[in-house]
Amino acid sequence: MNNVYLLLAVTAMAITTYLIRAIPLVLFRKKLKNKYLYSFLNYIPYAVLTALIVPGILYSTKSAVSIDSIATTQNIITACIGGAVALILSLLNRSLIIVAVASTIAVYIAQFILSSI
Amino acid sequence: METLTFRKGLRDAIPIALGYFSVSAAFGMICISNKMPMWAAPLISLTNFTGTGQFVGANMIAMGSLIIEIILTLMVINARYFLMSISLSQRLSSKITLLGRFAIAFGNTDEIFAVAMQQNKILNIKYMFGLILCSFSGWVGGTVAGTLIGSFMPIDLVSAMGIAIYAMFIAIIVPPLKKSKPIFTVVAIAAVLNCIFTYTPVINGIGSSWSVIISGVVAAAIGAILFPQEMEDFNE
Repeated sequence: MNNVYLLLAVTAMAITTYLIRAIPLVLFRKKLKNKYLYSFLNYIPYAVLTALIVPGILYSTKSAVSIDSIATTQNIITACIGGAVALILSLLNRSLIIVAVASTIAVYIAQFILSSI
Repeated sequence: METLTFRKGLRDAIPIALGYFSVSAAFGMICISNKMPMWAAPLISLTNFTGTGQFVGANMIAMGSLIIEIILTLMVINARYFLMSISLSQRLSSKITLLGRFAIAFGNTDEIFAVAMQQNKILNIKYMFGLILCSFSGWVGGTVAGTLIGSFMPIDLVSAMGIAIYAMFIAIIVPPLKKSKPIFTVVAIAAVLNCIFTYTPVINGIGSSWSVIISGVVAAAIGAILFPQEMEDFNE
């Protein structure tokens, strides 16, 4: 990974995040009155996260042997298994770390089984 | 009523710090699995101090997104902080200097905001610094721990960790969408829109970052029009 790109990206992230937090705290002392804007800002994180998951999750489990099309199909299968585990545990209100670890283990096991068939 | 001291701030933030430790440990591991150098995750946590934004940013860095795409996506995903800072601004003591406000702004995360607003009184700078210092320690400490663990994990397990970031996204959105029809609707619209943008020839030429931004903004806008929420009044 290119260190210059990485440093630029991290700096851009830090400045963007900080300015959004700092500007209202320093400049705005008035209350937000518009309920449509308020609702929009509340819904945005869920909408963006969903767009990141669907369909990106399908391509998230590239293994060391993911060059040919068979491996790609295999990756999509393991990703679906990992996604299903995450969905079920989230429906059961498990914590972030439990969901992340369990779906990683599920993908790991699925990769192992599929590559040994 | 208990007065708001630095010590009370530290104490009130212990549950936040513990929660942050585990989430940021996952963040450290994910950065390693995305082949970033060991200094990357701790540096991101030190300079950003935001959960969702960091995960999304790391994801985009791994995909090699343009800097402008990363900035726009973070602006969209962090827009809620704008709202939270406006609310917090009205609660801060008028004795807090401009410099103090700039420092507090850095620590206005979802959880710190929630705990601070629960106090139902004017917030002084000592209490806010206590809250922020304790939470921030958990956040950075967890990131370092996760980075170290990630560096010693076997390569197969690291490749399986590609799913972890998406699993965490799912864990963030599913519990609220179970309880809220508006959020469920917004999520469904965003999913359908982004699939259309991704799989329709010609339209998918805009690239995945832009399609995420457009799908997210359009879905949230439709949600706001269909289900405008009443604003919470924090000043009672």
